[in-house]
Amino acid sequence: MTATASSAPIRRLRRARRRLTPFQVASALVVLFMAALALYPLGTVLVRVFVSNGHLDVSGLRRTFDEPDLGTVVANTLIVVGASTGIALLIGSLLAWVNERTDARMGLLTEALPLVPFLLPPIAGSVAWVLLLSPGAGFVNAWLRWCLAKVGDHTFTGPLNVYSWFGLILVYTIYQVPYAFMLVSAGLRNVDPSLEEQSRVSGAGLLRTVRRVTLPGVLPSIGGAVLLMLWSGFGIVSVPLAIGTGANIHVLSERIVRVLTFTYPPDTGVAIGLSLIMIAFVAVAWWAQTRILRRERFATVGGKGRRATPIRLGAWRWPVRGVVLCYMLVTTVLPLFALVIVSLERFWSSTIPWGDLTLDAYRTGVLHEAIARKSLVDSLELGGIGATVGVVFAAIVSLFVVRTSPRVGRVVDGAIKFPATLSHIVIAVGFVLALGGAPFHLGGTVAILLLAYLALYFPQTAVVADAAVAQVGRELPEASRVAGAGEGRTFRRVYTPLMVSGLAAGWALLFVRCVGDLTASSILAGPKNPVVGWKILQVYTDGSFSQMAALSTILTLVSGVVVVAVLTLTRRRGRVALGRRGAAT
Amino acid sequence: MQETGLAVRSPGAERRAVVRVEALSKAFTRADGTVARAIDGASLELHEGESLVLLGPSGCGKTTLLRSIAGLEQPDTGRIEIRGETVFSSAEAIDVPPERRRLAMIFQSYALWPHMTAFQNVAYPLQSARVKRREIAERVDRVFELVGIPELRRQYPGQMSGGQQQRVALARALVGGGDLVLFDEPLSNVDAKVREQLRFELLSMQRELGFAALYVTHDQAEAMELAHRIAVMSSGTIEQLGAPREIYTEPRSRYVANFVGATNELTGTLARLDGDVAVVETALGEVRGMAGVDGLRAGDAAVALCRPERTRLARDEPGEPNRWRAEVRASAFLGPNLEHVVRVGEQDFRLWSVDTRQLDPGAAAWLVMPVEHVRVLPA
Repeated sequence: MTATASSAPIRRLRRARRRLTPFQVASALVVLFMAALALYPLGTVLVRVFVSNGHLDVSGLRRTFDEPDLGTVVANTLIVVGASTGIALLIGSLLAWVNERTDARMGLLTEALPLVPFLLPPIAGSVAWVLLLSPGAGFVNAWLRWCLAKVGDHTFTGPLNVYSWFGLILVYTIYQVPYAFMLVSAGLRNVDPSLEEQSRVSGAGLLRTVRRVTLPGVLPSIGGAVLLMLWSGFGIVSVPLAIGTGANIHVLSERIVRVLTFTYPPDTGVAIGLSLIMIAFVAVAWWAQTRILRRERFATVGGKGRRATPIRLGAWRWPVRGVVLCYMLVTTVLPLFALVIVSLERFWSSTIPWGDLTLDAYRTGVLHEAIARKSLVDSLELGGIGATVGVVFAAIVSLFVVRTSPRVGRVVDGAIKFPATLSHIVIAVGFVLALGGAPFHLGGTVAILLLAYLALYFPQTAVVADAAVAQVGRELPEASRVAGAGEGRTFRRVYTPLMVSGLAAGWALLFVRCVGDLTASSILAGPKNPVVGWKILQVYTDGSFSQMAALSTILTLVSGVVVVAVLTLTRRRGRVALGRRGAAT
Repeated sequence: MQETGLAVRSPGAERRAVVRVEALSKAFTRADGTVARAIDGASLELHEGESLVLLGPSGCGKTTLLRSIAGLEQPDTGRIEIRGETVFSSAEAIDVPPERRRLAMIFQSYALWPHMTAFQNVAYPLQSARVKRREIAERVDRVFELVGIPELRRQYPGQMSGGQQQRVALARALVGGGDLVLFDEPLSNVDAKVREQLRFELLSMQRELGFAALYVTHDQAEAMELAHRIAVMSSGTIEQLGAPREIYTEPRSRYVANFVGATNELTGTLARLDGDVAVVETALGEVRGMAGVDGLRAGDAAVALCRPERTRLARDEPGEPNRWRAEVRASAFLGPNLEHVVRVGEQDFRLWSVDTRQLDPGAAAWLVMPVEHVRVLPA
C-alpha cells in the first residue's frame, strides 16, 4: 500500500476527463470571480506601496513614517486592541464555561444572548455607549450622580467618561466578547466530557480539572479566538471614530479613514503605508497562532457529541446566574434602551422627559430627510442583494472546493478567503485604489459598495457554507449520482434542501454585516451612494443625536427582526424534514 | 444453513461478465508527500448473477476498488468494463460519470436522504430515469413488499431503526431492477442479531433476483456466507480469488490463511518434497504437510499451518507423523465448542473440539496435526 518516492512512479498516460457540465462551468466562473474580487484590490495596495503612476515611488511610505505621531498611533492601537482582547477572552471564556459546563446555564438565554452584540451594528453600539456614558448627558452618569447626590456628593459631570481609555476599551471589549464566547464554546463542546469526568474520578478537584484537562483541551480554540479578536480589533472603525476622536486617542484604522476621507485631497500614499503596518500586525498574530496550534496536539476530538453532565455550583448557582444576567443586561438591553429613548426625545438630555416623547426624529430626520431615507433604502437593498448573492456564491465555492482535487481546493480556498483575513480596512483601501478610478470608475456608486461587502464578508459566509456542505457529507450526494441523477439534479434535490437551514443562518449573518457596515462604507460611501452606517456617522459628527438614535434604532430593529425571523423559520422547517437524524448519519 | 447448497452451485465462468476490471491502479499522495497505493494492479471479473466478496482489512483498497467501479473515484491507470462497455480506461481517456453506469449501490451509512420519506428515497432512481409517475408508484410499492417494509413508506429515515434504514437502502438499490448492485460494508452499522438476520435476507434476495453483487467487507464470516467467490485483498492487490471453501482450506499465502481464519503456525525451512508432501524443518522437529503452492524449493523459508479445528489432542501416543507431547495450559467453554490452549516447547497451539470434556491445566496430552490438513506455504 505504501510506496515511497523512491519506488517507480505510477505511469500516467492521459488523465481521463469527464466532459464539463454547465453546472461545473458556472461554478468555475463564480470561483474565478470571487478570487479576482479578493485578490485584485489587495494586489493593488501592495503594488501601490512601491509604484505610483508607473514609476517606482516610495514617497507615500516615507510620508507615513514621517507622520509625527505615528509612534503614538501604533502604541494606542496595540494597547486598545491588546487590552480589549485580553479582557474579552476572560469574559467570553467564563460565559462559555458557565453555559457549557455548569448548572447555572439557562438554555437559549445563556446560549444566544452573549452573541447579541453581533446584531447591534458596531456604529449603533458605539453611539449608544456615548449616549450612556458621555460625561455630561450620559444616562448612566446621570443615574450615578443621582445616587451620589444621596450621599451628599454633588457634581455636574462624570463620574464616568466614555471619551477615555476606559470608554474605548470597554466598547472594544463588548464587541470582542462574542468571538471568544463562540469559539471557546465550540472548543468545550468538542472536548470529550469523559476526559474531565475521568479527571474528577481520579481525585482531582474542580479547579484542578479545569486547569489540567479542560484548559489544555480548549487551547486551540482559545488561540483561534485570540487571533480572531486581534484581527477584528485592528479593523474596527466605528468605535474609534465615535469615541476615540473625542478622547483624542487615535488608532491605525481610524487614521486610515481620516487620511482618505477627512483630508483633501485624500492622501492615498499614507493610507497605503498605514495599511502595510496593519498587515504586518495581523501577519504576526497569525504566525503566532499557527505556532501555538502546531505545538499543541489536537487531542480534543472524540466523544460522541454527548453533552457533559453539568457541574453543580450549589449555593453559587444563583449568584453566578445573576452576574451573567447583569452582564447581558448591561451589554445589550442598556444600549438599546439608550438608542430608543434618545430617538424619542426632541433633543438628547440626561433626564428622560417621559411626558414629551415624540416620533419627530423618525418623521423629520428619517422619513423626510432625502439622504437619510435613501441611505436606509440603499442599505436594505445592498443587504438583501449582497446576502443572497454572497450565500449562493459561498455554497457554490464550498462545493467546488470539496469536490475538486485537494491541492486545487486548498489554493482556491486560500485565494478567496485569505485577503479579507488580512484586514477589512486594508481591503477597503484596495477597493478605492483598484475600482474607484480608471478603468472601472466605480467610485461613488452602489456597485462598489456591493462588491466590497462581498469581498469583505465572504470568508465568514464561506465558513458557514463550508459547515453546511460538510454536514451533507459525501455519501448522500454520491448515492444520488449512483441512483442516476446528474450534477444539477443532485444539487437541486440533495444539496440544496439539506443545506438550506445552514445557509439561511449564513444569509442572516451576511445581511446584518452588510446593512450595518461602516468599515468599507466609511471610505467608499458618500452623498452620492449613502448607506446607513455612513449616514449615522455623519449625523453623529453634526451632533443631531435624536436623528442619529432614530437611524440606529431602525437599523438595529431591522437586523434583529430579520435574523430572528430567518432563524425561526428555517429551524422549524429543518426540524420537520430532518426529524431526529438517526444512526445513518 | 439451507443456503449452503445453493452457494456451492456457483454460476460458472461461461456466463457473461457484468464487470471486468483490468490492471487497475490508484495512488494517493498523503499530506506528508508520500505516495500510498490504494489499488495496485487489481484485475477481476464479476459474472452474471454472481456474488463476489472483496475481503480484506481496513486500508487494503477494497472500498476504493468498489468506488472506482461505481465511478465515484477516478483510478490512475487500468480499465473497467460494465456489461461489455468501457466505462473507464486510462489509455482511451474514458471516464463515464456514475449516473450513466446503470448500477446500484448500498453505502456503509446507507446514505438515505434525511429530507425525503422512505417512498421518496426509493422513487428517486426511477425519477432520475424519467419513469412515468404511475409506474413509479407501482414499482416502489412492489419493492417495499419485497423487502418487507410496506408500513414504512411515509416515514423519514430519522424515524427508523438501523435495520429498517438498511431495508430502505436495499429497496432503493433494487427498485431499478438492475443486474448489478455494489455493497460497501452495508452491515457494519447494525448490531449483531439484526446483522445475522439481514445477511440471511440479503443472501436469499440475491439468489432469488439473480443480480450480480459485488460486496465489500472485512468480516470473514460474512464473506463466507454471502460469496460465490471471495477475493482476498491486501495492500491494493488481490491475493487470492476463489470459492469460500477453497480460500479457507487451500490458502495460497500465509496472509490469506490468517485473514480468513485462525491458524496454528510452525515456521522453519523446507527440507524436501516427497511428491505432494512437503517436509519443513522447525524448532519442534520435522513437520509434514501438503505443499500449498508450486515452486517450493528445499532451503526456502517455509511455514506449516493447521486450523485449530483440524488440530487434535490424543491421550495415547498416536502412530502418525506431526505429533508432539504437549501440556494443557487452559481450556475454555465457548458454546459450540471447547477451546484448548496447549504448549509444546516454547510455542502455544490452539485447538477447537466439539468434545465437551474440559481438560485440567497442567495435564499431559499428545498434539496431532494430520498431514492432509497441514499446508506448507512460503513464510
